[in-house]
Amino acid sequence: MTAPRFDRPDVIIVGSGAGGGTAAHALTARGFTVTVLEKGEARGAESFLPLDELHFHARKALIPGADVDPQIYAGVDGKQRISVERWWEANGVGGSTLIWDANFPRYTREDFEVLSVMKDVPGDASMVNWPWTYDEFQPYFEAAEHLWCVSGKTRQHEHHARQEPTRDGYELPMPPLRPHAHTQFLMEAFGKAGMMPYLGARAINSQTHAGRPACSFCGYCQFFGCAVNSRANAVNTVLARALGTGRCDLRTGHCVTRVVHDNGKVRGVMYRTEPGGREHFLGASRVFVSVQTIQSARLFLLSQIPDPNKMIGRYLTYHTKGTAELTFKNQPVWDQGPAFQPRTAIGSLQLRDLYTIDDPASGLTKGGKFSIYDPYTCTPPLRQIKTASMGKTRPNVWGKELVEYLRELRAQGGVSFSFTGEAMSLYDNRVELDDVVKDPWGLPVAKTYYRHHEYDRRLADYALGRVIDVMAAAGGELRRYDGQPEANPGYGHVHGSLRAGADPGASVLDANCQSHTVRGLYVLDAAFMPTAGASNPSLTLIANALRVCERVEVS
Amino acid sequence: MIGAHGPGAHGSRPARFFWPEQRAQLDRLFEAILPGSADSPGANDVAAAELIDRELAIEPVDYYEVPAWRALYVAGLAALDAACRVQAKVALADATAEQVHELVAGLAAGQLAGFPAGLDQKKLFATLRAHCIEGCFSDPKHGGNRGGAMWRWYGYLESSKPFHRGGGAGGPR
Repeated sequence: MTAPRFDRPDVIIVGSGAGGGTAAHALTARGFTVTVLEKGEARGAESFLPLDELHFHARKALIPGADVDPQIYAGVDGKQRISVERWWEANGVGGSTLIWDANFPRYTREDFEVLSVMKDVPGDASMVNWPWTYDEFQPYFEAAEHLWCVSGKTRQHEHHARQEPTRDGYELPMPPLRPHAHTQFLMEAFGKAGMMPYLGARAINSQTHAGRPACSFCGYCQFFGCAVNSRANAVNTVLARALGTGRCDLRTGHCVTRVVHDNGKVRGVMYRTEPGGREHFLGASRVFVSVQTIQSARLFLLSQIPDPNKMIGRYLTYHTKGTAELTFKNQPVWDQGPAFQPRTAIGSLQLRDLYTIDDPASGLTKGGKFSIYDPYTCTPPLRQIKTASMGKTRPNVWGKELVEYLRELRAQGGVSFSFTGEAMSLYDNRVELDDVVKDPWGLPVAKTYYRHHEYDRRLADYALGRVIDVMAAAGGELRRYDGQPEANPGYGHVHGSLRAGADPGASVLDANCQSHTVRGLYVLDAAFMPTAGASNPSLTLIANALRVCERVEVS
Repeated sequence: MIGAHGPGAHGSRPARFFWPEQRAQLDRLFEAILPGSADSPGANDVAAAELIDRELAIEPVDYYEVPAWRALYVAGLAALDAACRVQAKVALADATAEQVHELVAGLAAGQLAGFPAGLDQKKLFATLRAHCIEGCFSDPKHGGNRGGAMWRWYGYLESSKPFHRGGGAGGPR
């Protein structure tokens, strides 16, 4: 089939990642013609070989270099100029789905209706209920889980209230990935504390599915492209479907410089095909923007989208995060050898028992979830050993302490917890255009202002403390501990900045993620999220893209 | 600026960035960061410094931080050698393991006296530590982790094996 080229498509989609790719599929399936404009190049799975941690992760072969294409962070005082490497943004067809972990939990009622959970919203935070309910999203979650080929299992425990609720009789398209060897040990340890981890949902094939092979557990997951296509990305799922219709015109090397609009209606976009080249116009009556939260806000600012209430770029949120790593002196290392041991960047156990917090002494009510993994087998060596610590006050050890750390790691069982938690939405946490630095295409780069609220910092310490207590009772000794600092130069779980809501006075987008001030202009990445929620955001933004695209009216 | 030297692309071995005395200094520093013993490999057992020595020599540069690293190493090694001569009364390349350990401890704490004002001690330490770990645990094709000996002991891509300095089944090869 010859790739189509549309002079005036029904829809222009800016960005080819999770949101844009999903929209390309959903809209072409409905008969629309779409042109997808992607700044980066197309890469096949073979371009992620040979597996090389130094090249792909340490030397960041797939992300924009901070020397020519940084983001500027203003620090907690708003006066700094810190040049930040955007490790969470991959340029290329498929966007950051090329390098993600494909950790696919749902946001749940506690996220959609945060005010039903939070009885203690700090006075300076703006926490709002989303203009949709979990029940309204359920059909789109189900569609997204099947479209993106998610492995996992619903209702794993008799008392499964802590796992994401699902419709009776509903099941994911594939069983869970093979459990890690530490699973039984952790289930028993948490069981004694009344907590129930479960095998998490991942957009990674646990068996041959949709023409793609099962995971080989090579260990090159987050920050790496999947060289065998067992991990889902936009290219091997939704874009493949869209291109198969003959109604998708995918153009690489096309950098959209601004959205064109007048009289409150979108007219199309301007783009360049080479840095320094001249601008071209492509017209359409609908433009869908999905280039990751901060970049979408930046495009709104570059396009001078009318903003009567000064809301564009505001309420930027990064999830509260935290890490704790422990070692067990009496537990042999969990390594059954490369032929047996699952090696993925994040192990498959998830823990949601602290999604809400019922502990009046804590002063906290909305919490978050953990991804649990084995530092030795799940993390490639450079990334793991660079964070070697021998306790809360002894980070980044060297010399004899580093040797001791390595001896423990290769001989003793270990566990690491990665926390994803709610974050307070603050008006001053925002995206602006930098007035000094321009990217290679000649456009001002994004400048972020961000500080974590005290609630976030207490939440990370509380949640980490709870799981550390459970692990200590099982014989664990703390090695690495990273709470949530006040400063945040950037993080992959990024949302807000173009808040959706029913009230035009308090949001940028309407409930269908269309601009209040420029009709026909939509946003499909996580920028729409009114609050951060407390789970990995990809599945929810994909479900939202399906929801929005279902409602687009035929001209 | 001290540039790449050695046979390079036209010779039988890759070009190196450091002059022999600088390389000897770097070897001392890396061994302090990950010291070896009779039963566990250290940075020098696997020629860890070889990775950054080669990478800094590559032209054209294929990673954007390389020019800054070149400048940092040239200034940093000279400053550390000078600090060692003051602190231990000996050149860095000739210092004992204990003397180098004390030097690195001072650097990590940002407390070496007389260090050039424009050189951030903690940043220099962090760079040395990161490159030492990369030289130990990266794919051997990059020059460090000679013979895959560190992976073999650590147990990466295969079950971990004992290490015996000086050779043997699990030693460097």
